[in-house]
Amino acid sequence: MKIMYINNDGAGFADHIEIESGTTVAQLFTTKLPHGRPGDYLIRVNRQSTTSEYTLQEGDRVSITPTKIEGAIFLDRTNQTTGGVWEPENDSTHTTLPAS
Amino acid sequence: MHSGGPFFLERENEQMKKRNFDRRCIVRTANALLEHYRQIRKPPIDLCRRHLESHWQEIERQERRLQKAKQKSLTSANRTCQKQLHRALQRLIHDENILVTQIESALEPRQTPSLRTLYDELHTLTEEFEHYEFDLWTKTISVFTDEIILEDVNLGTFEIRLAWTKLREGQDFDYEVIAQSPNPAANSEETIHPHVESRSLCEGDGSQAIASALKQGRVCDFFLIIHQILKTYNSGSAYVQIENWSGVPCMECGDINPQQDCCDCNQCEGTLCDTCVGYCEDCQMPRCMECMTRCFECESHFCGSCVECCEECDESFCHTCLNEDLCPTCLEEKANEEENEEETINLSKSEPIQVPADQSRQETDPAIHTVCVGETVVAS
Repeated sequence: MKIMYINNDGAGFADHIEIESGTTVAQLFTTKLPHGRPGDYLIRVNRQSTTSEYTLQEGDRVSITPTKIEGAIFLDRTNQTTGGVWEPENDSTHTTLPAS
Repeated sequence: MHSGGPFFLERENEQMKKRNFDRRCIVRTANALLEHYRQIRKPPIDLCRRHLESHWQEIERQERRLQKAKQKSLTSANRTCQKQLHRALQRLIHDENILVTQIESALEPRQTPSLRTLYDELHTLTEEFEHYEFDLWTKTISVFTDEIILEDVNLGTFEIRLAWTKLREGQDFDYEVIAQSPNPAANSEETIHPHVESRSLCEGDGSQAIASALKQGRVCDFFLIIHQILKTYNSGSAYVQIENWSGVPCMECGDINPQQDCCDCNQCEGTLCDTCVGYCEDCQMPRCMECMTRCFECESHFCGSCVECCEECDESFCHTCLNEDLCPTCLEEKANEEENEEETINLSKSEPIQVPADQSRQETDPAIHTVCVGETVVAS
C-alpha cells in the first residue's frame, strides 16, 4: 500500500512510498532510520502525534523530524566563482601564431 | 451538552467563535500563500549562460598564454599557465554543474501545493505551537516559541517570522528569528542565540530540509525544523560559545566578565579582567603576571622586551636601573675594584725610602743598583 513519507533529516525527503500492509509506525521507523532512536524524532501521522504501535493505513501521511538539528556558521561560498574583471588582453597573451 | 447553565454556554459560544475566526484566518492565509506559490517564477537561465561564456574566454586566454610560454621555452611560465588553465577549467566545471541543476529544476514541473495542503499545514501549525500569528497585511506568518534554554542559559522566547513579501530577486520566501525578550551575548548585542545573528539563523544541518519544506508548501515542517535548530546547541560552530554568553573568564581569577571589559595579554594572548591585567612600566603593553618580569633593583614589573640581564650577576633589570650592562650593585663593585687598583698603583709611585749615609756609601760601591721599585740593599 502507498503512504506519504516525509523525512526532515539531512537533505529532506518527501514522496509516496510503498509499504507492506500492517506495517506499524515503529516498523517503518526501523526500516527508514535503522540507526536512529525514536526518542530523537518528532513522529507525526496525518499531522497528529501517534503511538509506535499504530498500524499505518493506505494514504497515511507520516512525517519524521529530528529533535536535534545543529545550526552552524558556514562561509558564504556563493561568490567564489565570481571575482574581479578578467585581466585584459595584452602583448603577453595575444598570440601571433597563424590560425590552425 | 453542558449542564452548567448559561455560563458554560457562553464560554462554549466564545470558543466556537474563536475557532471559526481562526478557521477563517487560516483559509485566508492559505489562499494568500497559494497565490504567492503560483506567482513564483523560475530563474532565467540566460544569466547563467553568460557567466559560462566568460569562463570560456578565460580558458582561451590561458591556452594562448600557455602556447606562448611553450614557444619561448619558458619552463616556469609554462607551469604557471598550466596551473591557471587548470583552475579556469575547474571553475567552468563547477558553474556548469550549477547550471545543470538549475536547468533540471526549471524543467521539472513546478508543483504548486494545493489549497487543501496549505490549509492543513497552517491548521497543524496552530496545534503544534501555542502562540502564532497570521498577518495578511504584512504577508507574514509568525510562531512564538517557548523559552529556549541551552546549557542553563535562558535565551528567552523567539518569534519565527516567515514572509512572502519584500523579497530579493530570486528569493521565494524570507524569514527572521526575533528575540522576544532578548538575552544577547555579553560581547555582541546582535547575537541573540548561539546560531542567530542579526535575526539571521545559521541553518547548518537543516538547510536543505528547510528549503525542501518551503518549496513543497510544508509550512508547518518549516517552522518545526527551525524550532528544533533553536533548541539544539552546536558548540563546534556558534557565533558565541554558550559558556561565554555572559562574558569570558579571566585566566587569572576565573571571573566571568563582558568581553569589552577584558583585554588580552600581549604575549600569551590570555584573557584578563580589569583587575588582573598588568602593564609594563616601560612600554605600557598589557601583560599577565606570568609574562612579566620584576626588575631586581626597583622591583617594578616589565615585559620581557623591556628588561635585560646584568652581565655580572645575570639578574633582570630594567633599562633605567641597568648602566653599561651592569646593575647598580655590580657597577659599584666594579667601581670599587677599579679604585683599589688605582690606589695600589699610586702607592707604588710614591717617594723612595731614605737610606742612612754609611749605607749610602756602600751603595756607591759596586752597589747593587735597585732593580725594582721598593727594593733596597740588604746588608750582608
